[in-house]
Amino acid sequence: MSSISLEVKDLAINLSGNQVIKDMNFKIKKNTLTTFLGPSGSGKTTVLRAIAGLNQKIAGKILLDDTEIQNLAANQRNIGMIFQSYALFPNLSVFENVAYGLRVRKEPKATIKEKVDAILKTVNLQDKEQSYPENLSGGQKQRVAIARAMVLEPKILLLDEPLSALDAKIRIELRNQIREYQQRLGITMLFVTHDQAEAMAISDEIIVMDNGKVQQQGSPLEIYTHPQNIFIAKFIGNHNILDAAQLRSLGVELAENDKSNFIIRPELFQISITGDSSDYMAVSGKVKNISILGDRFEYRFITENGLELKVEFLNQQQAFMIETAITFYVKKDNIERVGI
Amino acid sequence: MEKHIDRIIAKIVITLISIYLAAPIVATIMYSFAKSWVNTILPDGWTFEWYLQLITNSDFLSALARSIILGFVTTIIAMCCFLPVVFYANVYDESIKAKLRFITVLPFTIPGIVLVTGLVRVYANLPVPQMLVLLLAISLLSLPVTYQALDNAFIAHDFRAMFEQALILGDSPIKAFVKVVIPNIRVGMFIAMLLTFTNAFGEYVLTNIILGGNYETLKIYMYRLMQSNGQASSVLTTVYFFFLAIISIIMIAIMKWQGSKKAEEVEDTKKL
Amino acid sequence: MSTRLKIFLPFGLLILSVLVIPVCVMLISSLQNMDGGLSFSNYHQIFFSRYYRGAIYNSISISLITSVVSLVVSMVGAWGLTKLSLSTKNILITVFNMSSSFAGVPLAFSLIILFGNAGVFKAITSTLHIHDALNIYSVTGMTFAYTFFEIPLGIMFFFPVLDSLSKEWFEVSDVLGASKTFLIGKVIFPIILPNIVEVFVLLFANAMGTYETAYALMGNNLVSIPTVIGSLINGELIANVPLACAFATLFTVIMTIIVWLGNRVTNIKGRRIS
Repeated sequence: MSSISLEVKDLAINLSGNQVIKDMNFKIKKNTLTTFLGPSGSGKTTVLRAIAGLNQKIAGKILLDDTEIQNLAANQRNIGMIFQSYALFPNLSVFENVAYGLRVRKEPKATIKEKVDAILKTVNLQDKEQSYPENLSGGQKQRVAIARAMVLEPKILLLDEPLSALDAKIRIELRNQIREYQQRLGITMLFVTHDQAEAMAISDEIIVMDNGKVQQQGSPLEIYTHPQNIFIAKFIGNHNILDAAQLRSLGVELAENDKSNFIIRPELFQISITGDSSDYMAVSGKVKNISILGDRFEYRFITENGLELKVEFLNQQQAFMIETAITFYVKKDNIERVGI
Repeated sequence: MEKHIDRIIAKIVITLISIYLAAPIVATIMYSFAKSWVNTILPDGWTFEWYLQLITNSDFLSALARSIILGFVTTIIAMCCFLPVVFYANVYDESIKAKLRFITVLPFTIPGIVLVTGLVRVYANLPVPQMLVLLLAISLLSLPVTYQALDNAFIAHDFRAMFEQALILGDSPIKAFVKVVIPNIRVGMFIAMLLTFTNAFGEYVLTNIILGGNYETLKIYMYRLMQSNGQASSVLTTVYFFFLAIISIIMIAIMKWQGSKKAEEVEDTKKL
Repeated sequence: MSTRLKIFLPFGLLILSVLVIPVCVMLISSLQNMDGGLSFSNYHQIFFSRYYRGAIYNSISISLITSVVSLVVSMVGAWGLTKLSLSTKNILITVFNMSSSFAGVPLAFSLIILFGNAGVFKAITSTLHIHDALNIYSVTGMTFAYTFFEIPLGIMFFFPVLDSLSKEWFEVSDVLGASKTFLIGKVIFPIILPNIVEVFVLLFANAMGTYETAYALMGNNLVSIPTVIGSLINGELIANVPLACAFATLFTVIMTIIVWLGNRVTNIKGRRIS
């Protein structure tokens, strides 16, 4: 058995004349939670719908467990999907919602009862069996949606921005819930979101998308610390992005013809040095502005030659006052070179 | 203080308009119970006689039956033609709605009296049952009302996701439509059917011109009665008015019931 | 693709058989004379006959006056409606809805009872020795009669517009110290102006196309575009369907232009606001 659950090869999709997805390739490993991350309009949902079989015309191949599925209808793919609105059927009880797919498969009544009871127990909803969706809380609705998809034991579960309509606090609670069930039930999940914090928090792997193309695929840490291009750097974090000339002006020696861009993460600035000072870049300047974010402080810092940098410190000591003259240090190894 | 004055003025305005609009209806109701009411400010006396006369009249009963049949068949035709389209526009392709916008101005640019010229010109001499032409034409004229009511039925839920979810769970499109879409738009469908029925039930222009006196519906009977017997006609008008009133009350009840359900749902989603 | 065809087939057949084909035939027939030859004789007849010009004149004047009056009354009415409690609002909206569908034969009959030759109104005026009071069987009477369905229709169109006006605007303008007249003149009126145009167009078009009420009140004695069309189709003596088609074509063309212009105005204004 291969360790790859889903493979997309040379996928291209046209929607009303526009090529929204171009030559897309990626693989998703079994039993992982992979996130499709990208700004709205980047084509994430379009790809997800293509995998589910909800787009009418696509070019390229989609392999699920090494079998080509791109020519199958949506109801023959054995894929689970959870929509942003959860799409629970309001006319059916929780039990009937979960039993829906089993009834379509014409499984015997006893089996249905057994399977639905088991999955409802897993998601902790055994006492809500006879409730109707309108009487459930947001978290319960999500669990019904997960149970309804999982009871069919799909090969992969697709989630289309299931959290984006919710309040910030509930979002965090529900994203942890999703991660918990993913790990407990050993599901392969593909999760679409435009929220980079959400993606970082729950993913094994992140696929960053923009303009109908995969920009980078990797673990959250990899993507955060080594973004491959400026778009990803801007999208994923709050990084300082400098070109070669700007970096040179801060005293870093670079080759004459070096045209790269560089990122310096705001949390990597230090106020003192340990070890050899030649390993560090020193920047002097003034604090222009401070945002107190509770757990940390975020400074806007103007260097002596007029460059503006973002600098962050944990809320462990007294904050620097505005207009304070100060020198920060960054380890040269921590200055990351990125493509354009 | 200013708000208070506003409300009083508003009440006065609404009362005046209501009296103005209700006056003919009230007069008709009074007339229907009057023994005689000619050239006097109030009737001479009250009676139920005219009601008994009308209700036992076979012309009335058969006209009523014809109108009901007309309303019924039209409703079925309208549903068969419009429901799939409204469903498609809401679930598959929202952009179709923009193309269907011409529907909303249809009764204003091509009212019945205009449409009927073309219908007569095309179908009067063809071996087509004129009844069929009439039924189809009334369905068409009810389109704006039916379309709007059906379209409203799709507002409440995310039908696109529900339909697609049913497909992903393994159902065929037709089964998904029957099992997931229809049960959740049944209230809206009922309102649309009620409106279509009322429309067809009270249709006059097309029925009168296409079928003439050959098919005497309630409205045509009402017109004939109006020429000959004022008392009987007032009874019929009153009955017709109460028919409209009952339909309105049913709709108010449904809307109130739905409104209260909505409010509850909003409350529910607030708590987690 | 085949599902799409199945879904649109009944709808398409209906539109084709009782809308597209009849309207096309109507357009073509309007250019045919009684013998079937192509000519403009029908239009010639309409514009050069005093009788038919009178019909056009009557239709336009009745519709114009009735829709302006109804527009004003329904705006005030819709404003009044927004000030009432929710349950009263709902009931009244349904009542207005009902009275707009009461139009036609029942309305005509009710008006005859009230204002006819043997009606209550006559009884009151003759007791008070007033003569020359409202004659319901006249152009003026017709204009008056139309208000009974135009006003409720106008209220139904206006109410959602006024009801959706944000309360915050009134509050903001209070905070900024603007007077109510200033707010209405500078903010509310420009915002609802496109809606006023739209409602006016609809009321006007609705009055223009009214056949049932006019016919029920006056038979073929009042000449308006719809009653002329009716008598040209049905009248035993002067049946002339091609001429009716010419009238109908004229009506459709004029109304389409007016509705289209109305939409244009609405859109331009709408864009300026956003």
